[in-house]
Amino acid sequence: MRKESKGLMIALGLVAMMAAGCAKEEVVKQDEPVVPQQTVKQAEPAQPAQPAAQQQEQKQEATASDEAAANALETVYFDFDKSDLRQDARDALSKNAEVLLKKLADAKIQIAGNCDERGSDEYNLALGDRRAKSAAKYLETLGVKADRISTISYGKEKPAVQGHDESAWAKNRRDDFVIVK
Amino acid sequence: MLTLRRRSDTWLGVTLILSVTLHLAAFLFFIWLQQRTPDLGKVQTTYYVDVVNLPVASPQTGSPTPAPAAQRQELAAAPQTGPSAAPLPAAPAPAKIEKATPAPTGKAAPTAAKSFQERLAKLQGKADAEREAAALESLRRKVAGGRAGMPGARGSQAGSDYTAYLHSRLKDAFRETISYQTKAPYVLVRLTIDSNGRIIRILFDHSSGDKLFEKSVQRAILLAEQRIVPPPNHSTYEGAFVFKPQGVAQR
Amino acid sequence: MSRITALLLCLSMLCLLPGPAHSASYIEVTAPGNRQLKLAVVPAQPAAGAAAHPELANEMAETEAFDLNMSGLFAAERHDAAPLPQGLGLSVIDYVPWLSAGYDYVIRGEYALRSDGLTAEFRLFDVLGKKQLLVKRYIGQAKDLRYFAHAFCDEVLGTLTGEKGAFTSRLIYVSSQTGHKEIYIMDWDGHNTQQITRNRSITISPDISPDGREIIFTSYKRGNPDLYKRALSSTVDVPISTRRGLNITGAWSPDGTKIALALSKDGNTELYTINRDGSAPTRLTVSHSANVSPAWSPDGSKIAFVSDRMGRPQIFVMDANGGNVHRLTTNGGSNFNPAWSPKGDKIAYTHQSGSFQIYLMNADGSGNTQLTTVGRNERPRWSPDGRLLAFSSERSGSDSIYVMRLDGSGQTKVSHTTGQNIHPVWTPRR
Repeated sequence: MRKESKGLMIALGLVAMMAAGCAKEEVVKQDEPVVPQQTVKQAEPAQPAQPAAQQQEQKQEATASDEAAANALETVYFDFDKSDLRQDARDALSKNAEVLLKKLADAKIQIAGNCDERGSDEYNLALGDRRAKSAAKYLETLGVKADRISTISYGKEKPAVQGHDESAWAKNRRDDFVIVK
Repeated sequence: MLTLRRRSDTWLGVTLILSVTLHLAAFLFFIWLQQRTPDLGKVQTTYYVDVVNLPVASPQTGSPTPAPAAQRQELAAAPQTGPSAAPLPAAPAPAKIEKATPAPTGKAAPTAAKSFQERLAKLQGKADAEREAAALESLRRKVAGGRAGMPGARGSQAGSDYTAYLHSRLKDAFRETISYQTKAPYVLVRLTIDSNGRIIRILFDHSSGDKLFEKSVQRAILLAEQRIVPPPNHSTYEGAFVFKPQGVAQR
Repeated sequence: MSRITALLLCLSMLCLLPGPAHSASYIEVTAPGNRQLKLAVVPAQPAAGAAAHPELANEMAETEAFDLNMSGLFAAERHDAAPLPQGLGLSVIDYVPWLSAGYDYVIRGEYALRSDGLTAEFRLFDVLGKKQLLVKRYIGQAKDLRYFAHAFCDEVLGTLTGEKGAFTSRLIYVSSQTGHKEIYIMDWDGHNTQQITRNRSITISPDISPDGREIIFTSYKRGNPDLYKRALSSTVDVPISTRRGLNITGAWSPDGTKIALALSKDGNTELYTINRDGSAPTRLTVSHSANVSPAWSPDGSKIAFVSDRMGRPQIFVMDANGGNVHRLTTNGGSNFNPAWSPKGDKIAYTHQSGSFQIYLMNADGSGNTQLTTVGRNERPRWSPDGRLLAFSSERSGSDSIYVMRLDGSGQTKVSHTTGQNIHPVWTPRR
């Protein structure tokens, strides 16, 4: 516990320094075609904004993960009804692995698989599960220890953005990376 | 019987078996035919629907003058000697009218109201298919050798006419009550009508099991009973009917 | 001599033969169409000495008319009539006015609201047959009046069709009215809505035990999508499957002893059965793909489910032990949410090719029929009598629970809660 918080402190410090200066630019610079990291992260808390209660669910995530630290891990996107990793997804995962091996060497993460609104909600839970697991497997092959990674699927229950068109769907077919204690 | 026991003739046995099988075959063929195609009785009934019902049938759609009176009479008071009694004795027509059907109706038409024309057209359309089937059927019978001739025609002329009359009445009533919940329901019913025109026995021989449909048949019979005249010659009448929805189920 | 005898015998048989043929020759009586029976519901009259509460009588009458109309067999309507002077029990019904008004059946009733509760009696009359077909008396509280009406309509269908209605059944469903997906329950017609769970999380996919006492559902209340059980009379959620990964789409077996569900503990999302306490997981499917949404056949011998083992999600069927798997839907697109009819002859499901629509097919996969056309429609579930389907539809903005007949007619919105309203499940009759 103490070890972890120490690690977190270091990570925090590091990230804070980065955040002050180049973090934003760095995010933009990545050739992530779909959507800039920043917008996704803002959209997510904004979406369930209506009731305060939804926050509770994210409380554990929110408290555990520092926003800045979370920002260090890139969201990974998928094709429709697919859980295999595209090239851009593999690139993002490589970066995530690097962060996890160096900057957040002690952090445990949860990968949350999500889907777009098409498909039945029940089937999408399974699809999201598969998406989370395929990212987890890839991170493991890149050297991140399996016991640091857990997965969860939200199916289409937690869309990053609202909308009924391909641009919205593309942003919702994703794996979120959340740092847990 | 005595001869049979005394002489054990092998010839007799063979002939007997042969004849039994032959007859059985003929019998089964006859049943098959019956199931596949409507029997001859239908032709008569179709004809009868037009003529017998002319003055009174389906009062809702009937000509304006007699309609309200007839309706009230039929709804409230039951089977006195309504206007329907008149055409019946007049009507007994030759038993085997097949091709002749259009002729009498054609003559009757100009005298009737416009509504009749419409009804006639409707009935004609429906009847055409049946008539065609019946004609084919009678042809087939001729080819088959006439042995399985229409048994119904052999009875008293009046009896078969009353059947036709009753059929038309049941059909009219059934139109008003038909209701079902399964795909192809049917009910086989045996009716006994006493000399006063009362239905004294309703026997359900067989049913496809659709209770809603059974009820609608029961109600059709009840409804028809209020409108029928007694069988001719103060006799008791017994007839067997199969009730089915027409064509494909539609809501 | 023998020849002559034989000939005679044959002849006599000849004469005999047409005999049975004759009696078997039924004359065909046919009629076109399928009439809806016209039924008048007269608002109940106060019993002798009881105070008049027309609002109660009217609500019961409207409830009955709505139920009977939704059955599809009746054109039922409320029809006011003068009270019977001698009360319901002693009066002689005058059928003639009903007959001339074209009604087939009439329902009349009598009620008494007293300090100790509400009593109601309903009677069904056959106008043409001029007889009383059914009498039922209900005793309870004023809040039970809709239940009284539903219960009587169950009996009316039983009397007239041989198969009771299911209007006393209720609908369990998921609503996001509070901002969270929680389980709710309402009467089948949308009245008496009550919230069941208060997990303030994501709570979905309810199913009810065959005895109607307990529900199961999946909730994220502890983070992971776990399967919980709760007695309807209680407020305690008992976790029964909290295995790593998904514990979703629980479906109670018809005999109530087992629960089929999808678990991803072994990698893929596969189907398992567990005991009703969550023990003894038995794996049913073996694939490299996702398998969800098990639906038991009513005899418990088979399970239909959704799998994407052949590409897009399709409906498959297998024996309840996992053997003999074969594909049912081959109509292109994706297919979800199988639901087996109570008689076992049909399977309702959601078909997606572009939009989501409810379809019906025979249990062998033949005879696909589209039932809905407007908006996005999902997750059909059968009423206990097999006459109605509940489903969720987005046609009016956000998802709501709808009910329709098996031919797709009578599509009616029944849920009143706001937000997303999905995952309807019928309870057994009360």
